[in-house]
Amino acid sequence: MSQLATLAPDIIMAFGGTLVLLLGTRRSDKAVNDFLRWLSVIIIGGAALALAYTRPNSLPAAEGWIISSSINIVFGVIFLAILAWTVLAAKAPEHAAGEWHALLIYAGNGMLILARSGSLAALFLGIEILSLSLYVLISFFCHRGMALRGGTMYLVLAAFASAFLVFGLALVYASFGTLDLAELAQRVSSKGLFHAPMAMLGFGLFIVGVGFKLAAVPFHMWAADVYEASPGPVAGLIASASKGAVIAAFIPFLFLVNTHGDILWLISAASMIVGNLMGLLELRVKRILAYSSIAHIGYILVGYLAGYNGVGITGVGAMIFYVVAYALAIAGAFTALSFIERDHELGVRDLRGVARVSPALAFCILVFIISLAGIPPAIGFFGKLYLFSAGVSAGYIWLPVLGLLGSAIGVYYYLRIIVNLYMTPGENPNLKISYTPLQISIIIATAAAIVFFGCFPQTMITALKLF
Amino acid sequence: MTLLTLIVLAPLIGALVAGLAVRTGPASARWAALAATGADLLLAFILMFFVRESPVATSMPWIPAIGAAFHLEADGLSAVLVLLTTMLGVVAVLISWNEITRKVHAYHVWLLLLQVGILLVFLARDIVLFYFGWELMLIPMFFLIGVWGHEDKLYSAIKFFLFTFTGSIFMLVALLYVYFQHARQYGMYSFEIANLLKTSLTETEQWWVFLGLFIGFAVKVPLFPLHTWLPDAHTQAPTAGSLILAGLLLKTGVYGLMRIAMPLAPAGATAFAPMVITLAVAGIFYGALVAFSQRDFKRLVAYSSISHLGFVVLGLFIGNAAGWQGATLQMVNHGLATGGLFLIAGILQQRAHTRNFDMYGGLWRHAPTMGAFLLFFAMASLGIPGTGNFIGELYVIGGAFQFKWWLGVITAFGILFAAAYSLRVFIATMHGPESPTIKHMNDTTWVENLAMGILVAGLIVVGFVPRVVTAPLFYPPDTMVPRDGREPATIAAIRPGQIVIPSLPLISAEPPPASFSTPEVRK
Repeated sequence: MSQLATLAPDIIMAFGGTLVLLLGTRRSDKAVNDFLRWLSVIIIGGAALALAYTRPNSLPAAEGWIISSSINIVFGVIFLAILAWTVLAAKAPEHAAGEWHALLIYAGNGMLILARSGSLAALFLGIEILSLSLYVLISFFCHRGMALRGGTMYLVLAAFASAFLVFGLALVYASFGTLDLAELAQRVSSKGLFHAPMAMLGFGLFIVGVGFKLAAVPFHMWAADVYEASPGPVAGLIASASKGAVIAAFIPFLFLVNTHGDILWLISAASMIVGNLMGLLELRVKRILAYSSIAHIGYILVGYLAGYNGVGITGVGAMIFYVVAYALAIAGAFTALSFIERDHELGVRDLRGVARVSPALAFCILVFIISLAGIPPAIGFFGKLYLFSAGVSAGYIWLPVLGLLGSAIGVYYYLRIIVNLYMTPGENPNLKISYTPLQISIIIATAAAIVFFGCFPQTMITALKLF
Repeated sequence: MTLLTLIVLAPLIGALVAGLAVRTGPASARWAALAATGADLLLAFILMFFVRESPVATSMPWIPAIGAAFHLEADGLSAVLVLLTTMLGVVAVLISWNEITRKVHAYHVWLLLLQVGILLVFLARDIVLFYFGWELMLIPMFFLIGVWGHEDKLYSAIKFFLFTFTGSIFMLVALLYVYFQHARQYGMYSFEIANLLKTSLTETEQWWVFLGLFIGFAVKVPLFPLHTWLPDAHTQAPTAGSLILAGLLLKTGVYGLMRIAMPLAPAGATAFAPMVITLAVAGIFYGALVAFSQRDFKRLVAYSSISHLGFVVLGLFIGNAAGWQGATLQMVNHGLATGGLFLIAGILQQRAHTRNFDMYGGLWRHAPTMGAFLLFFAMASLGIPGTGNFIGELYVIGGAFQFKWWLGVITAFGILFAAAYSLRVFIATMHGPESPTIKHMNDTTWVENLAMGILVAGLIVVGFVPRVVTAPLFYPPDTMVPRDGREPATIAAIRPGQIVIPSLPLISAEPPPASFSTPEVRK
């Protein structure tokens, strides 16, 4: 029974997603779509409640595949919240609302499994469930622009990365003879990795796979194209929750810092530098945000390297904080941008006049951008402060310095967005902005949350029980 | 005490009101901003009264997880700068009354948010809070320049942003370093400035820490080779933007040096002092010379700011009481006098649609009131007795003499250059043959007169009663510790938390008790 309680969120998500899918096949008009939207929110909310009331450290369920430590639960609730947010803020396609919502819920199911995986197999299962849903979601509007291309690209590259990942995990399994993460960590710490070259190689391949999923440099090539091709909310979901889930799944492997620390250091540094530099070259908004998200993965990895060291907040705590802070901003930005209707890819110059047509939307985008740039009073500033403090206290001096310098470079492309939003004369003649009252109020609430938590970050630390 | 919180909150509330009243007419935003800044000015006067007895402080936990507190504190120095801030805040709202007609609500929201940031910088006694305010100034100023600025506004706004943001990152790195050193030595994490001052740093560490802080603050001051953002930003900003940039934002850099950089790394400051003094003196002459050759009114005033700020930084780094008092005086005077010049430049541009001197001329006949104001501000800028600038420059030059006699001699010539460009401003606009551009120009309106009148009053008060600025420097009495003896104190004499001042022949440095019995110039 207690196993069933641990599995309840997954069960709710899986059955709920199927229910939404089946109901959606009947008829599609506005009333039905709205009903499906709220039904999805209720399902996700139910799963989140079930998860929140799981007793921490209760028995592992399903042969140890699903565990529930307090960090995993916090992560899971965060991802479900982002998912519910996406369902509410996104413009569901009219012709296939059922499929859209069902796929989102399935993606959420994948994230949930990832965030709480207790075994290598569950980890792989979670990644695949998540990726499969995303393939379809990316090219959902297949007649539009590069959607098909983006979806195919993600499919090919993610499959490629999965191959690395699963082969790496197989090598690890071959060396240690266990799939269980806790046991694995124990055996690694008792035996040491350096005497197991096969496992070393396996973990190396594993990091490559994870790097692909996170779009960390040098595995970042797909990010800009895929983000640009995806519908805004989906891009936001990939950048925030999906990456966050991979990070959550990566946390049990913290022992890798001892053996593969240099590689992770390089990946982190390269992501911060390349992400910030390449963004300078882009003139299309979604591509800019894609490179910004690459840089942010670099920042987050600083927290990973810091592990359980830290100032008041550990590196892991700072990562959780940052995942939330970053998700609010990037998902908000992608979704807000999707309200601007267009027949071609959104360039920065297309933003001209948004401030006049919809001051509220423009202001919210401004807040999101400021948060991404890490400027007070937005929450992104404290996210970075915590990550870098944790990094310094763990003895990494140069990573935070690189990160700060990188953000000084990166601020230029954020400014480019702000300038076009507010200051450039002339107006995009084809500018058309459409949103429902619900959508804009959610965007405004998100921006307000960013500023509120930016002024009172302690409230979020307390809420997430980060210390 | 809640007074400080109120001072910070008043403009924030004003900004909220102005922002929420966006559907009403522009007058609502203007009145909301005026009410907020006016209330703030009143509170600042009250603060001046309280701060004479003991420093006013308020502290509450903010982010206990990392040891950051919402700690505001006002000693004399902070109180003086808060008073200057609130004063210029009122002037900024007044001068925008007729000038700003586009997006009035948004304009006032940014203006008031900017004031919140500045006040936080001047009052914060916690590094995170300080940095929070420091960065809070960026976005509003960026918008003021970028949206309401003049022809080349985008370039200037971005340049301003990138310069100060990059500088502030160096500052943050240095501050975090001290934070971690403190934690290592004392076993507790705290961002309180008072605690960080206890950290013992080796000379090499201090050198690096000071370098980082110095880059951050010197960009804002701006010190000579880092100044290039300033002429652009000042020239392109709307009038109130220029006023606040010159009057307050530059002062935050100086204040950072006084409050954080020099006390935190005194040995670093000593090591850098020769270089900084050289740069400051170079800035005095460079700014003045370039100012003299400008054709653009605002650009001229902008370059003159570099020159004036050179005096301020010089005063700080010669490391004696006269220098510090002079620097503080000049901070206030420069805010008022240069602010006044920017107001006139803005008023002229608004009417003549040009800032070019060649297009002005013979204006006195049409606008005698404006002429009178311009004459006063130009004279103040060149440091005529009766205005605060005279006293401030006297203090700085006196301090420089005491430090090295030849430095005093060189610096004194800076005033000569100031006279050159100040007179040029006046002659080019008011005298000479009447230019067709200004044929139908009106004289200043009463709102503009009121705005400028506030500045004039401030300058005269400081000019005749300089102790209103210098005396608070000694509040509370043990902030600055006078020391007998004639040898010039170096920066090294400044110990964390204290500023050690030698007694000066020119100025008696008795720390005054509660009453205003301060250093006065002796005949």
